[in-house]
Amino acid sequence: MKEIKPLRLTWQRIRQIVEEFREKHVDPIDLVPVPIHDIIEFKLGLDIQPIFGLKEQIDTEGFLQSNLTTISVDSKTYIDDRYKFRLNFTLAHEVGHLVLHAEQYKELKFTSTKEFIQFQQNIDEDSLEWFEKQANEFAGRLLVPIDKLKELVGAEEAYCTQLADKLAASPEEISGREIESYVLESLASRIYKIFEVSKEVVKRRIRTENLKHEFGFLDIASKNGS
Amino acid sequence: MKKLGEYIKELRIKNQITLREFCKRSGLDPSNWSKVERGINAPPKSKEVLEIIAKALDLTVNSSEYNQLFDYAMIDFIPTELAEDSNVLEKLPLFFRTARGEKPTEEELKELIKLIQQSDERD
Repeated sequence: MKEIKPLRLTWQRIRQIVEEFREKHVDPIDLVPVPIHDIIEFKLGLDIQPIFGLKEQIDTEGFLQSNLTTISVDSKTYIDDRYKFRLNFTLAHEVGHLVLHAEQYKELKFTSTKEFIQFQQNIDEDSLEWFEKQANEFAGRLLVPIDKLKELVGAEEAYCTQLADKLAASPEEISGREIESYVLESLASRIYKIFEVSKEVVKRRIRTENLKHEFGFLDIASKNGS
Repeated sequence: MKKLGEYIKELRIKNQITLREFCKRSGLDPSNWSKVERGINAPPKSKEVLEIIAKALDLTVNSSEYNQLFDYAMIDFIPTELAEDSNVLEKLPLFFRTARGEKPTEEELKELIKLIQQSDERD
């Protein structure tokens, strides 16, 4: 039975890899939104192959083919502007697999479709989770560069503070944690379009970068009580 | 001799027009167009569609590339021969998850193989 060993990469190492990647492929280096389609087709020389029915029939939006030369995407998601931001993340995620996990792809070649099905059914959930998280981390850091994120978050201080004060003064009893969550949601709504990713991605980036330690105005729960 | 689809892809990449942008500009379906670029589906021959393609590629009317595009369209199309099984195997994903965040079911995996095969079949 074919197996795949989990690859332990620290978040710090992924951050380094992303910045090396940015240096090589994003020009100018601080460009946002990161032109992920251009990077894939013109810099990495990969093909994008839209496949009809991928999302509808298999509930998936894309994958990196084992040949490491092509990213398959759902054809409807690919062309529909409503999913444009989501697509950017899907593509960056697959680039993440290519950059971080090429060795695993090279080592594991399927000799039959039966073997592929067995492998997918038996792959250890925890290992799979690790690989997916690593690719997500790559995509998030690439598309939402930390310096630009900090700059935009910092510029929203007055807005966030006013909103938090307004909510705290409202006659309804809203906990500090709820206010914090609401402010984070509103903040993400104001800046996500700049990165051309979903609001969820920006929220996750603010959380994983622990920005509320650097920007005290986001640390509402500890001040107003949870 | 190059095929028309191959030539258009070459021009598209040279002019830095992504597949998505090209399909947006021309109104062509991306999954079908990908088959044209890969030599599976026959490229369009009609003057109207070729003109839409030339425009989507930012070609100047009567430039050498524009004329070459029309010249290639005159050549009879012979579809690319694909080795069935080996081709599917190298297209399968290694890390694969559904959007709902779960491992795919056996039925979904079989369906995936079918869709990959269909993406290499001539329409």
